[in-house]
Amino acid sequence: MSRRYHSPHRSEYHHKLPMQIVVVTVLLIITVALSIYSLSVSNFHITLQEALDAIINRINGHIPDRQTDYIAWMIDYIVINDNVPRTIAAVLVGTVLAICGAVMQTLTRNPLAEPYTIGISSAAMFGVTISIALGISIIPGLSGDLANGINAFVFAMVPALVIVLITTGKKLSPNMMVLVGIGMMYVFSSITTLIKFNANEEKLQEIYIWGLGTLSKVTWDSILPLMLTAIVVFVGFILLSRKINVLMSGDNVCQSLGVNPTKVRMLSFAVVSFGVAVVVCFTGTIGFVGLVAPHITRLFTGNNNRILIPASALCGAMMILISDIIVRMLPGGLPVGVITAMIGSPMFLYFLFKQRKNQNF
Amino acid sequence: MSSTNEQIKEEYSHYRYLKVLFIIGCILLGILFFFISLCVGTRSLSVAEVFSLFIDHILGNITPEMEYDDHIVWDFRVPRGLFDVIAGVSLSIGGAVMQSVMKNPLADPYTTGVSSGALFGVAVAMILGFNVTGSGSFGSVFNAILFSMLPIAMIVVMAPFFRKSPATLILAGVAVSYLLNSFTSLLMVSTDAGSLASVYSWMVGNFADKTWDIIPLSLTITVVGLAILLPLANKLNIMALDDKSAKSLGVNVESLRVLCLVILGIMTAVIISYVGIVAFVGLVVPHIIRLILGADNKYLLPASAAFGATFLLGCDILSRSLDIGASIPVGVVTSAIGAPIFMYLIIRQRRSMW
Repeated sequence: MSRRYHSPHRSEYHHKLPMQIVVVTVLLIITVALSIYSLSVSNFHITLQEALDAIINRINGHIPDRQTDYIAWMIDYIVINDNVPRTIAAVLVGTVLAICGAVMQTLTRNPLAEPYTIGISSAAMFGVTISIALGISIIPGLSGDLANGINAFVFAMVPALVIVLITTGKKLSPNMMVLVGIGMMYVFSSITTLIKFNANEEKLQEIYIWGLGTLSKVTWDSILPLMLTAIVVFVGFILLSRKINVLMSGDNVCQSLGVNPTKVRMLSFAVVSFGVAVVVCFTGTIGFVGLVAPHITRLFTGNNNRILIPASALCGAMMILISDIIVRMLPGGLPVGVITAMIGSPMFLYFLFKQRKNQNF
Repeated sequence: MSSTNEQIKEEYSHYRYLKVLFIIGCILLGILFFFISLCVGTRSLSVAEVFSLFIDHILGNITPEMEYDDHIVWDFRVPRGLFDVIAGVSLSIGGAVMQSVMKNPLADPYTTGVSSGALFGVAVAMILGFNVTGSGSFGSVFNAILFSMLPIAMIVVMAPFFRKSPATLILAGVAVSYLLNSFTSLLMVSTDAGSLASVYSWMVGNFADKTWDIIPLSLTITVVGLAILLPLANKLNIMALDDKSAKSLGVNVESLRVLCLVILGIMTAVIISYVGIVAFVGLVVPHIIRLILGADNKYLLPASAAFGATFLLGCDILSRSLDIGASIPVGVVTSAIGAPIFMYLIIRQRRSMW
């Protein structure tokens, strides 16, 4: 019976599926290869073999002695304390930002949406600005990077809370969410601008660089929270992906199919805000990836969120990995966001150029 | 039958009447604000004094003892007020058109990447000391104009080659602006804190110390831009339909989109080059008007222009007269006042505008 029934959509779906699996597999292979290569990259000349040996030695419990074998000790130190956590963090951060971007674009039905659209980045920026310029910390007694991070985290959650508060019991249309987000963004950024405009030059520079985002502050302590967040975001949205797919067909259709659009939106929002807040807390606001990784992915996989979400995650991880590899090769410790945009934008333009089919928004 | 027709006509004329009234109200308020803005500053003059000075200057009866005040009012405050009006009109109408053309509430006059181009030009001038026109005080302005044309040129060059759907155009603009921003950031992180601060203070929008020589170019371009954009209102309304329906009604959607982008790009580029990036006005003023008057472009465009000019004048007056022991850029006042109004309007709105 099922043999005889050949819906055109069904066959199209089966035709597309292998292609999508190929895309995901290729992305996965590239990401894994890049992360292994990334373990050896730093300003010092360490070969991949040496880096892997250092890691294997560590796993076997051999820590080189500083007195007897200085070079081995140094390689071990750089690889274990810098390269490994940075590589893991790059993958995790890319995953979270890209997934959140993909979900925001679908939820708001807006190709310009990104993880920071509802005002998260300006709110985080505000937290950091008052910490750096005015020395105000949410948890008293902290200072430096820790205070900046915690301020950023706490304030990054504020926009989501405000949106939840002012829309309780109301039907929340996607564009209304975006507009409330814009409002929040301007409230925070006007105060931030005022403080920055009158801050002294060194503090302004510090705030500016924080805003560009960097992985250089990542240590082993950051890995556990980032890992947990990435798992929550990844698993959460894979589970929600069917409902998010239904949401794309419009609120009325969605309701008649038994999915409450406002509920799905709220839940997704909460997860996005939490995920992005954690990332921002450790790395600052890394731009571009959350916006562009989902778009690049969409060109290959189409709009089905069940494929789009994992594929975007891989694409985001890949973009941050490549950029961070370049950052570590170049002298001067550039912010990773700068490199991402520099490589990503021409690529993105090229893909837009080639795209003919009307499948993305 | 005829009675319902008349009823509809009456309703429509009432509907028009209220909107025209709103626009006229905005213009009158704008004129009032313009005269108030002439009185505000470090040397405070009363409205009557300024008004008589203004009349005397036009009639040519300036006595030597009035010269100092006349110099302040006529050479600094009048051009600044005028420029507030020009910038307000340009940015708000730019935002309104951009949002209609792109069918996207997140679009603003800077969506094409113009602001990133201008910012890059200024960063190049201030940090690398490279001016296209050689050295001189106008170096950064010309750099800003030239570099802000880069994204527009790219769009014009690339437009024939790809699908001109709103999403694709927006994304192309975003990609270009990210690329230019990354170059700017590269310059900013590699320079010393002092240069960064001077680029930053340009970036947040600064209306201080403007004289007459910025008026002619910006005024001409704004007037020409308005003359092209306002008659397009009907076509923009049709574009709110999907592209196929609009085409079947005889509107060449794709070329109209590119045309609007180019005109808006040039209008915004000139404003940005003189005063930097004034946030908020271009994005939010059209939304505020849409919440009050509805989305009909025939009223939305002129009302946005009038309200934008008035709003920017009001904010400039506030930024000059508030004394909090720190200097306040206009962009801060526009967002600080506008954002709460905007949020309030969104929360209490019943109809859906988009």
